[in-house]
Amino acid sequence: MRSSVTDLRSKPLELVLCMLLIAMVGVTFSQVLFRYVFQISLAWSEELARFLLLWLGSLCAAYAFKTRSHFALTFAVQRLPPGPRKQLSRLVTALIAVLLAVFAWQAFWFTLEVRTMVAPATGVSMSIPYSSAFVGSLLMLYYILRQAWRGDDDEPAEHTSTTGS
Amino acid sequence: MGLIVALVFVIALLVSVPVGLALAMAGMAGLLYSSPEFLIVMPQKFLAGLDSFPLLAIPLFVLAGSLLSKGGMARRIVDMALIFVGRIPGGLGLVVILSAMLFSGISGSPSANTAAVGSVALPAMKRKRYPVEFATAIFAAAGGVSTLVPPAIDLIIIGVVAGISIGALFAAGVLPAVVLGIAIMALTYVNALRLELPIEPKMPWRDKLKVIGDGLLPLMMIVIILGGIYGGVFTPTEASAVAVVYGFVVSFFVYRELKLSDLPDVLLGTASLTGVVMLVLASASVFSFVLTFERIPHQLAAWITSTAPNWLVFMLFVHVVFIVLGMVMDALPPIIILMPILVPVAVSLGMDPVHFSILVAANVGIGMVSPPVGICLFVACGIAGTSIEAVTPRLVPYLLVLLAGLLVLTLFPDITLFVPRLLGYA
Repeated sequence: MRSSVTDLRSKPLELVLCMLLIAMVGVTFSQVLFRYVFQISLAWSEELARFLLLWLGSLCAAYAFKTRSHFALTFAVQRLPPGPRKQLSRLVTALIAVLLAVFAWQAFWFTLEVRTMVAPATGVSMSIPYSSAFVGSLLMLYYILRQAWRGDDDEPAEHTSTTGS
Repeated sequence: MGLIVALVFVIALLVSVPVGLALAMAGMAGLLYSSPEFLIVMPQKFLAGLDSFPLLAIPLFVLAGSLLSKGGMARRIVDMALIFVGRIPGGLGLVVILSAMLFSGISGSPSANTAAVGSVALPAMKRKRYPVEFATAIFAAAGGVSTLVPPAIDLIIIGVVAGISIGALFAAGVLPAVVLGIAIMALTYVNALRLELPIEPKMPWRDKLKVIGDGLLPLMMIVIILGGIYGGVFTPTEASAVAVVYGFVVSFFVYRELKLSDLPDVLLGTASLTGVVMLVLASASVFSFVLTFERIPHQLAAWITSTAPNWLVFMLFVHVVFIVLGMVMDALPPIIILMPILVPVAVSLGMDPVHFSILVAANVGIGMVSPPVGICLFVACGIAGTSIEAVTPRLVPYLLVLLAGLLVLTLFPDITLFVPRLLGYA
C-alpha cells in the first residue's frame, strides 16, 4: 500500500482532503437520514455542504497540481528541441506564477471584503467559505514553484487510474 | 477585447499551460484590458463557479465507484456479464462492453471505468488469444458509451452549467446508451465470426446462481440511485451520498475486500479527479463572465440563429465542432463554456434541451475514444501495454459505428426522450 493511515499524518493537505470528503458524505447523508428517519428537515446541511465543496474544490485543485493530474496540451511543445523547450517551460512557469500571485492577492482582498456578510442558514461569516480561493491559489503557487525548482517527478501521478473525466 | 481573450487562451494552451489555468489567464487578460479594478471579479466568479449543491454529486459518485471497485466489484460484474453474453461468439468482447456499461451505472468517471473493467477483463482476453489491439479497441469503445449512463459526470456538469434537470438528463441517457452499446456489440459479434474467436465454456446452473447473487449487490446501487431519484426519495446529490455509504457498507462489511488502510488511496484518487474538474469549472466561470461582459455569447447566439436554416443543420454543425475539439483536447472546457450558449439556441430552433444535451454528451464520449488524445483510449492502451497507433486501425470501425449511432440519435429524438417522457420530465 503506497499511502496508508500512518502516511497521512505527515501529509497535512491529504489529511484535510480526506476529512473534507468524509464530512461532505456525512452532512449530505444525514440530510436524507434526518428527513426520513427523524422527520426533520435540516436547515443548515445544504449550505454547509456547499461550503465544504468550496474548500474541497480549491484544495483538490492544488492537490491535482501536486499529483500532476491537470490536463495540458503537450503536442506543440513536444515538437520543440530540448533547449528552447526548457526555456519555454520556465517562461510558462513564471507566467502561471504571476497569474496565481495576482489571483491570490485579489482573493485575499475579496475575503476581507465579505467578512461582515453572514451566511443565511449557518450564520458564519462568508470569509470562512470564501477564503478557500485564497488558500487554494497559494497552495497551487507553492506546488508549481516547488516542482519547477526541484526539476521533475519528485511526486509522480499516484492515481492515474482515476484521472480524466 | 474578445480577440485578446481568445488569443491569450489559445496561446496559453499551445505552450502547455494546464487548461484550468489557461481559462483563468484569458479571463485575467480580458479584465485587465477593461480596468485593473475589475480583477477582484476573479476570486468572486471562481467561487461562484463552484458554489452549487448539485456539483457535490461529482466527487461523491466518483468516490462511490472507487469504493466498490476497490471492493472487488469489477470482477463480480465481469463474471456476471459472462453468464449473459459469454456463450455468443466473441463472448469476452461482449462481456467487456456489457460490464463497462453496468459499471458506469455506479461510477461516474469513464476513464476510471475503462481502467477497472479493462484490468479485470484484459488478462482473460489475452489468455483466450484475442489479438491485443482488437481487445483494446473494444474496451476503449465501451468506455466511450459510458458518458451517457447515469450518474455520468458529464451529464451532471451539463445540467449545472445549462440549468437542466439532472434527473431528466440521467433518465434520457439510458436508452441512447443501450442503442450505442448494442451497436458496438453487434460489430464485435461480426468481427468475432470473422476472426473465429472462441465462445466461453458452459457453466453449471449452481455456479451461475452464485455468480448472479454475488453481482447483484453492486448492481443494487443502480436501483437505489435511479429508484431514489425517480421515486422522489432524494435529489441526485443526496443519491450520491447514499451511494457512498452503500458502497462502503457492501465492500467493507459484506465483501470484506476493502481494508480501512485502502481508504486514503480511494479518497485521494477521488480528490485528484475532483481537483481537475473543479479547477476547470471555477476558471471557466471567470472566463465566461468576461465573455458575457462583452456580450459575446449573445452575439454568437444571434449569429447562429440567423445563419442556421434549421435545427438539423445546427446540430450537425455542433457535432463537427465538438468532434474536432474532442480530438485535440479534454471535453470539459468546451462543455462548460459552450453549453450555456448553445442550449438556448437549440431551444429557439425547436430542439428539446434534454435531447440536445444528450447528443453533446454522446459526442463527447466518442471524443474520449478517438485518437490522438481520447482519455479512454489512452487508459485502455496503458493497461493493454500497446500504443495508440497500433490500436487505431482496429478502432476505426468502432468509431464509425458510434458516429452512425450518433446520427441515429440525432435524427430520432424519441429514442432520447422516451424515458424522460415516461417519468414525466418532458
